[in-house]
Amino acid sequence: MIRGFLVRLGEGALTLLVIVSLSFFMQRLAPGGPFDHERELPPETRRALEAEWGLDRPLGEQFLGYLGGIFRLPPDLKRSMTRPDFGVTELIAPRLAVSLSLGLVVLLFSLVLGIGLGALAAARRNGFLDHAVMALALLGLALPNFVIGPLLKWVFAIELGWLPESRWVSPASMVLPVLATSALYVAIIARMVRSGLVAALGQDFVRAARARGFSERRVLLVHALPAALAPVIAWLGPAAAGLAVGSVVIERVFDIPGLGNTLIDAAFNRDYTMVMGAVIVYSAILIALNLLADLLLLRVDPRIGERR
Amino acid sequence: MRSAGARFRRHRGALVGVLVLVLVTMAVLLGPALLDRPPERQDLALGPTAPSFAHPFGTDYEGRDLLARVLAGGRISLLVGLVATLVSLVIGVVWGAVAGFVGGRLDRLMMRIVDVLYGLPYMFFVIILMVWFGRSLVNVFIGLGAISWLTMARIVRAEVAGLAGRDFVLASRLAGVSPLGALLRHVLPNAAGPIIVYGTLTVPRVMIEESFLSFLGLGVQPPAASWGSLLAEGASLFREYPWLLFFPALLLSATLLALNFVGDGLRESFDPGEARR
Repeated sequence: MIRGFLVRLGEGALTLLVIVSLSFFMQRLAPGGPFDHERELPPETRRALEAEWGLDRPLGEQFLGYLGGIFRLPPDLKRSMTRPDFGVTELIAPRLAVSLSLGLVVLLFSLVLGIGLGALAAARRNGFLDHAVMALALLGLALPNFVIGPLLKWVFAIELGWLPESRWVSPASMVLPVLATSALYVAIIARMVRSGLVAALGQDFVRAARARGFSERRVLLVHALPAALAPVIAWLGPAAAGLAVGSVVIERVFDIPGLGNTLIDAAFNRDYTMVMGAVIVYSAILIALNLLADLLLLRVDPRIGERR
Repeated sequence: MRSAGARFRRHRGALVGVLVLVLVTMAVLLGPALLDRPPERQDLALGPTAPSFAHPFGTDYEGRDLLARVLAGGRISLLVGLVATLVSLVIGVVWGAVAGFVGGRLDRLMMRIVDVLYGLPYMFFVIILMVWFGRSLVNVFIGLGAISWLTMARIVRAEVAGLAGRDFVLASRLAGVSPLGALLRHVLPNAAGPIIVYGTLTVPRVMIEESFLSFLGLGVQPPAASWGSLLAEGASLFREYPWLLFFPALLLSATLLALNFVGDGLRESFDPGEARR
């Protein structure tokens, strides 16, 4: 198992390397660059700028130079090309911290609420509560967060004035973005947990537990729930990665200084070094969390290891 | 033992979903011809007005009829959903089937390529496409098509790899059926359930992604509209003119709900284990 994990780790590192190379060449071969402004620069200024950043050297050499920086400890992500007074690392770190903390809160909130609602629906299957929960979940799936976001902002921040409208100032400013982001995740988790539980309840090991006289609640939560959580964990890897790097839409709606918009802004400004920094952070998180989800899955359901 | 079709017809939610989809499709296809107001005709003197008899959905900031715009936008949103889903079906099924059936080194290589595309931030991909080709609907199609097939390929690969070693497939090979024949005649038909179910669920996912892109100004460009770009406009102006958010949101959500209902119905029809409650 450890050997399998090491192989996966190596594959992940290789995947990251390919992604970094692809992004590097994709943005460098695309027309335009960081020094194309509305106002045309004088040719000599432009040449001086390009020489300063090493953009006049062959592309392959620049690429190797950049890779050399990444593999240093601590990695050197260079300075931002549009804000040369700052290093890419120091620009990204605080935004990553915001996205990570927001993502973690959303994840915990969605897991607790989603598993709770899903278990409730399964316990009362085909009853009123089941239908109510599943109808709510469908609504969560069908309403995009850029509809939920402005609506929440309107009701709670503007009409009622209970919570700050936007800006990242206090823990209270986290409430509305967390709610707007969680709706979809709660819905997905509740549906997966419900259908997993309903499937598990029909299986022999659950019937055996019932036959031994355990209470229905205990059978549901102790015996059936772990089996029902396997698909949730498999889904959690990519979902958590998406949360960790921040939702572009939610960041726009609530004025959150997170990581999502960093990449978009950098790509629009053609800030080569910022784009690379954001891509590396984004892809590394995605790959790492997927690996973690695979490992967790092995612990929950050892049969998966044999099938590989 | 009833067939999947019969089980689907018993699923009331799914039937309502199909009905809603048919109605929405007919409305966006035929509606603009029946309305005598082109969606891009401005009436600056009129400006934004609340829903009325002349303009059932109201008008927007430039005095354009919102009903006409919502219907025209629906065409683009549905088209994007369908085209990207078809792309995901064709590429994803072929890719996943080849990887899963051939196995070995080719399988590993093909799935690593999927991993790479999956790990590449696709917003960045879309922006680079825009730099190359300018802002156009084609970029939306390419960008969404490029990511939407990845999950399909993973699902099909897992299904096909599981089926490829089964006795009935080996038996057909021993009986002289070519590898391609065995894949097409014996393996893929047995993987049809997950493919159809996931394909149905791809449509709403892609439609939401399109509306994200349009919301961020990366997708459909004015004066053309999609439900996403109308929602973006509505979200920024809805305090003064709530109908600008309400009607596009209503149409998009109803369509997404209907698609999810149909997907659920299909899943339960193809996987009766789950339907048995």
